[in-house]
Amino acid sequence: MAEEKGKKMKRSEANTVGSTNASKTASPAARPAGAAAKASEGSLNLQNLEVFYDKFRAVNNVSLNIEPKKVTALIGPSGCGKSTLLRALNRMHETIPNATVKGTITLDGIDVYGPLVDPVRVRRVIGMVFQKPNPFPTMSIFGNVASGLRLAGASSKGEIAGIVEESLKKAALWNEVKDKLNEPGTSLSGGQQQRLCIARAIAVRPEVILMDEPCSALDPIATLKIEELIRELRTEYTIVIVTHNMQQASRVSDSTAFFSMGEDRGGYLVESGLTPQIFTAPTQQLTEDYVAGRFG
Amino acid sequence: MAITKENRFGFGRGIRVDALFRILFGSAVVVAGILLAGVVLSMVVSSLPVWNIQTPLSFVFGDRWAGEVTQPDGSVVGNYGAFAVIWGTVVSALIAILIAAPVGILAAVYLVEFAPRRLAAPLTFLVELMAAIPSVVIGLWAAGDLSIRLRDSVEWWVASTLGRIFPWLAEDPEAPAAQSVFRAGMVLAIMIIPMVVAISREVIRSVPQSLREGFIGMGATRWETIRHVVLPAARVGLTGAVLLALGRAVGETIAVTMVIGNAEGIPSSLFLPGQTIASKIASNYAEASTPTETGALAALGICLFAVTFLLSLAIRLLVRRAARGGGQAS
Repeated sequence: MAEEKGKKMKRSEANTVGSTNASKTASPAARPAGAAAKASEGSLNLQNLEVFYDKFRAVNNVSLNIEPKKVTALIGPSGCGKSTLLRALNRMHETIPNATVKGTITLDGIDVYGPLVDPVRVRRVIGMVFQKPNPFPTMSIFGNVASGLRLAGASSKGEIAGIVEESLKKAALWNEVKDKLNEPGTSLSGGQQQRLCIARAIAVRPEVILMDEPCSALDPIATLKIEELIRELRTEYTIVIVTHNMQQASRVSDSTAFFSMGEDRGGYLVESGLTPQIFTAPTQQLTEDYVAGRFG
Repeated sequence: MAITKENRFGFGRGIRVDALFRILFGSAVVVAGILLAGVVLSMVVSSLPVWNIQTPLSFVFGDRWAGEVTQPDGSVVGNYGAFAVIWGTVVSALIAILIAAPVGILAAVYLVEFAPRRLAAPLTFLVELMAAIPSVVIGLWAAGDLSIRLRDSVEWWVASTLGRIFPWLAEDPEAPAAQSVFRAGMVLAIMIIPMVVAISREVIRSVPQSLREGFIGMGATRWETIRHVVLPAARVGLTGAVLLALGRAVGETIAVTMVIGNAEGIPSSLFLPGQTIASKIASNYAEASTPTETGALAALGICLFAVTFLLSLAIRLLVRRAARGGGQAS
């Protein structure tokens, strides 16, 4: 069994998308907040990544290249470790007691888990949008978007207002909220709330945005808007999206990584590649069965 | 019973059941309301005799609980002033809240946000156990050992520093008082801290994890998340926790009676003995021999009601104003 999995691992490594973009500019920790990302920034590389909850290995030996300024979809059945993997990318899993990581994750060549790296800074460079829209209930629409800027140390009112407007425009929400910026973020509809959360994430000018099933709580029309938004955002940000919706993966992503669950209930990478290839000509039977809807 | 085409929508049983329960639950509310009204009414009726010898205004603002004399012709002359005990109640409760609210809320934050799970459970149990200590036991401890320790540490220190500037924090270094209003406040704080912790803990726990994650995911530290997301979201519940604790502090009787010294009048310093409404009623009720005196104590009871209500109102307004200020800032 272990041997079998080992084989799969090797195949998946051979299948990694894109090239390794090592040795790029400043470290994520040293990058000043608000500095615009450069064209080739935001390439993530995972080497032999394993994530544990106590002794349970939730993610098994994943090696994967995530290309900059592209959308990479992580798909697979429930419980295969996609969300866990996603959260390991910006060290969000560290908020869960006893979660640990082995292997390496680098952003533009810099180790995200390096000894001097501040996880708080990592999350400013690698932002996150969650499954359920979670606007901060005690903050206004404006306050929600501005909160990250204030955390990053921005204090000039004009500058904050400018970035809030820009972020809301990028998140395709500005026209709907420009006249009620002082109303609570929770007064918006579900789809608007999720776009507010996206605006909030891009306000701090990250290089990478992680999205954990961002549309699973939304209706089809709101979903469509978010998908359009994701396609627009990819020109500026590297996007990694976990989704249960295969159509969504094929609609929005450039590359797809398919995960499955091993005998030990740990998730592993089956294969990854350009999205059209994964959906039309996968190399693994497992992938073919999954994308054809035969299981999962 | 077989389901037929005619009865498949039922016979109105669901409607009848709902109506029955509405009456049942509604009557519980009515009972509570009647009890409350009954208490207030009985206090007012019992207090009536005292209004024969003085006005409510002279009662509330008179600072001497002078007592009464029955004249040879049978008429009663006297004066009961409640201001000193109202003062004692408000001041001791405020001292208690000023200590218990921050300590209790911070402890609750620690239990929910920082304590490792293995530590959180026993600590929580301990706090709940503390809340269950009978107040007379705390009173025994407070009146003996604790009272002397507080006098020789906190009181001595405050009196010899701030006391030199503010006379209401001064004490006689040669003969510090054996009992004091300040110590009553400290004892009340000890008694209500477990309550503040227990309720605040539930309130903070009920703040959705997704909000914390959202803020941490934007590059916030744990502290920033607590400060900007968790505490604001828990604000209303935390206010409730403090108000409930305040209610207990204002009404607490036994332990306060044992440490406050039960001295008449408003003391010139917090480190001198005083009296609260509750301690006054408790220590005078057994000896009250005339309808006028019993009436005066009942009137004190009404004052206690009013003090609790006004203090709660003040704290609510304070929190609302603070929240509005915070809202503008964010």
